[in-house]
Amino acid sequence: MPLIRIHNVDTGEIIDREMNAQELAQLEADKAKAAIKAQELAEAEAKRLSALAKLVALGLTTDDLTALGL
Amino acid sequence: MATGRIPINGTAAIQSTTLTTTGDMIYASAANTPARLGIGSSGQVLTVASGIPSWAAVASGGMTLLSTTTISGVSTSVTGISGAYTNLVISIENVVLSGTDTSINATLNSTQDQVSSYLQNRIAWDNQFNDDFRLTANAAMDVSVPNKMANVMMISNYTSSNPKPFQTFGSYTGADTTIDANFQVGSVLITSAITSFQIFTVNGTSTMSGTIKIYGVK
Repeated sequence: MPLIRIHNVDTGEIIDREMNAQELAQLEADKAKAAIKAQELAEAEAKRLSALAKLVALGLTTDDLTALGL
Repeated sequence: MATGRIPINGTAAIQSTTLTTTGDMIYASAANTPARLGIGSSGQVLTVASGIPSWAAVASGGMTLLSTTTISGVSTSVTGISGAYTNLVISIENVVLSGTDTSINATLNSTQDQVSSYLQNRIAWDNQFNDDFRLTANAAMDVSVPNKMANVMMISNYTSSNPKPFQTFGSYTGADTTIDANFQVGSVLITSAITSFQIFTVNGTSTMSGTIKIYGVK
């Protein structure tokens, strides 16, 4: 079970405990959302690389791409 | 004191009844003249006015370290943040993961998806979106020793009932020595005072170490 820490800086109390059911559910939701986001980013990067390859095929050099900020 | 006096040097003494309240201090209001200085209120600092000590509010523009928290587990929360300041500066220092995780995120007041922001990191430029604070790139990361992540976040008018502007930036050196930079700006959508801060690993499998320091700015 994942451990968490809660530090109340008003009272100085520090609690180390296992996640409760609600926190575990939130963790699973965060993981699912992060996986979707990572997939979106990977797809965007693949499209960018594909577009760069097309420009290279048209005759642009690496220096040309750098000059264009690509 | 059993004698009702606080011994000074074996020949002189101050009446213990001079001190009436927890936190009271004794000072010299004139030469050879002990006097009581009552405790100030929370957030006040000891200063000097007209040649004697007194408690006063922190001067405008001053920055005060409010708390230092050692990060532990997959999530660490700092609660009970004082509302006596104008802006908050949160410094997340020397964060080391026990293993690989997707990313390290952060929230305020335990509220998910509370920021509308623009994010730039090594992976991509992310236009306006509603999510958490992204302290690292959303990709497989490993900041094992000796590589460490650090991030600084500033939240303006953090006690207001309106959305609050924020800026955060940070970096870490990955296991492959690649330096990841991270920059996120936008607005905190929470419309109540910020009283807590949470940092967590997204996958909840790697534990963190490091330090969170929170500063209040007048």
